[in-house]
Amino acid sequence: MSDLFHQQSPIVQIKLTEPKANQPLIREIPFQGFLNLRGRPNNPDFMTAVKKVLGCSLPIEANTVVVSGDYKIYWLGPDEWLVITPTEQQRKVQSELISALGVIFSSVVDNSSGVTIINITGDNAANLIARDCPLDLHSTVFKAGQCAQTRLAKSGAMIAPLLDGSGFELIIRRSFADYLLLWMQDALIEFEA
Amino acid sequence: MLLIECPWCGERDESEFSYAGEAHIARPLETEKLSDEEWANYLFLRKNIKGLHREQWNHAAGCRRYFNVERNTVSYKISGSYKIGEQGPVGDDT
Amino acid sequence: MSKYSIFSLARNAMSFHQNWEKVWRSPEPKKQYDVIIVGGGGHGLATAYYLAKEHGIKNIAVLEKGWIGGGNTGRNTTIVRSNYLWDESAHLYEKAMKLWEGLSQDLNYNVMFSQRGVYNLGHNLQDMRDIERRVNANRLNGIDGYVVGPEEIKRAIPALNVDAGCRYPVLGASFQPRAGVARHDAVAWGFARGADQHGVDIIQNCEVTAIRQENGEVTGVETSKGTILAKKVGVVVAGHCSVLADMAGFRMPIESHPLQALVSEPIKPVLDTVVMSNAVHGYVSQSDKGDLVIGAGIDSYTGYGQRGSFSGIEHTVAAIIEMFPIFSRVRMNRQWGGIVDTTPDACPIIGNTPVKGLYFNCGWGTGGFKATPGSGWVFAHNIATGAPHELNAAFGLDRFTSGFLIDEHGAAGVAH
Repeated sequence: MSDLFHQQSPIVQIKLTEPKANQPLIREIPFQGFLNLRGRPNNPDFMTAVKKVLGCSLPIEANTVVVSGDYKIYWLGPDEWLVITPTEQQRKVQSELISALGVIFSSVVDNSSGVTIINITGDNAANLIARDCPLDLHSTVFKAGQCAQTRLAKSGAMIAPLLDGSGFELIIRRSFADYLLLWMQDALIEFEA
Repeated sequence: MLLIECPWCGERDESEFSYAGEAHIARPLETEKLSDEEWANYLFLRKNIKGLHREQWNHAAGCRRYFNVERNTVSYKISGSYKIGEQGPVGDDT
Repeated sequence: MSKYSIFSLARNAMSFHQNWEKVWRSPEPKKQYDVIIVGGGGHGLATAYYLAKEHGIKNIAVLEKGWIGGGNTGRNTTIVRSNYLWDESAHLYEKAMKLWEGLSQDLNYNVMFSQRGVYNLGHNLQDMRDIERRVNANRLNGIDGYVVGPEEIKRAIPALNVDAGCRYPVLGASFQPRAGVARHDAVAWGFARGADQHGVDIIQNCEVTAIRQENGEVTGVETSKGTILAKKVGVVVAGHCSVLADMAGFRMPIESHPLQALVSEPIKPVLDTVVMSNAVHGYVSQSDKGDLVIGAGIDSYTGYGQRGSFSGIEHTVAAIIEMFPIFSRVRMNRQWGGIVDTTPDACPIIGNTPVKGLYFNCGWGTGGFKATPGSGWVFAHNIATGAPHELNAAFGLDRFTSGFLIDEHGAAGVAH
């Protein structure tokens, strides 16, 4: 990539402070690659071609995540997945998928500039999200390996428990990132003392 | 507050869904031959049932799929959800 | 029945107000009437009143399955205005407005019509363009109204947040000075008393279970109090019109949705007008008792349950606090829901049906209260003459076949 294109985080103007007292820690994982992959899971050619590139089978069970090397694959719908790649690898993976899929009924769309990742960790991570999210976030029902697209405040979000159990990963739209971070900072006040 | 079962994602809160009206309205074939009355019937006239109602919902904040729900429009009790194209449940009329 | 006046008040004071007459009778239904009105809400009672007063038809029964005014008439936010965009609806609602202006005198019953004005706020450039277009259309139709800027709004409504930095800045508003509120129960009671004085039988706890017809003509209705015959039946049942249409064997272009409203605890006078915002999506006024009367949008799904969803309450209250941060600590006392009959074009359906002698007045959606006298007036004409008045001719059921819809989603306001 040329240095002329300087990538900027969507929440660049928001100052994330160190957590006080019982506040959870909020951190952005910026500039990951996001590919939206669609195809028919009952077509073995589609599944095989994707496996060849990503190194694992697509998750068929609803609301689950599969990790394969550097890639993470989230179930978005019965014929739709989100592939997260490390920074700057999305174009390589996209072209590999497109050439592997060939004429198979499918689509691969690079959505990297459209979304970002926010990690929320700490004892009150679930309590912070639950300030305005209807999902049951308790660790007995929402476990590592699962994911869920849901509503967060007035925006949408993909939420997944972090594999180490320390909190949650939120995949949110870039255009709502500013709003959601401001909302979170407001919700954090409750855990200040 | 309704707890709606998405056929893929399971039970979720009402606020994740958007309502999409009466289910099983088939688009007429050969629309160029339809009379004005037939168009009005298809586009505008609704059963608007007081009782067990088959209706479409979209899991807008979730997997974004349309599916059908059978719901009592007086008690709001949901007797079941089913995918488009599937045979629906037979709920009790309470 | 005696007229209400200062003298009747003084006379009854002598007997410690123990001897006031009943405001209306509760007769048993006769076997046959000239006209049956199904539905004893404001619109139904107004229809009976104007049938008797304007058209000399006195042998009328109003059948109500519950108690009069117990449906949407007793469940709305009482806003009255006539600033609709299109000519057809502007003329209809303006007819209602003119009737409102003389209604208390006409009925000899104080409906507490208070012309405190209605502001429809604009929060962005497109809002303001729509508002200017609507105000211009209103003025061409002889309806009062003008566009006001944020300074004037701030002067008139000091509690409203008009800071330039707020999420939905207030850029201006349309203002209709003749608009306002009326006491909803008094409207039902006033029309009931007026109709009763003209000999109309108001029969409560009488549910219609079937519509009798012969050779495509209506002959009467089956009710929980037996068969009642009539050659003309007018159905004015708001949310239940599809149920009644089903009895008569046809379908309506209507979906019934819950619409809820809330009132707060009474507070000192803080708001002496009505404020509505389509963009922030809420409306509020303060009743004479001091409680804030609050409403917003319909629940998205159809329902006959007469109760609203919790997410609806949250949305409504959020919208009001967005506009009036000062209300954030006011407690809500009560919440209730009505069943509104929404049409594809946010306009009512008033007129004849496929069954001869059967007339429907429905589809008022979220804004029927403001039209109560006008609705009854035109529907009475339609029933008496068998053909629509020019004011309701455009609102027939046939417009869904002809395609002449009257799209009032903008001016119908918040709830749609």
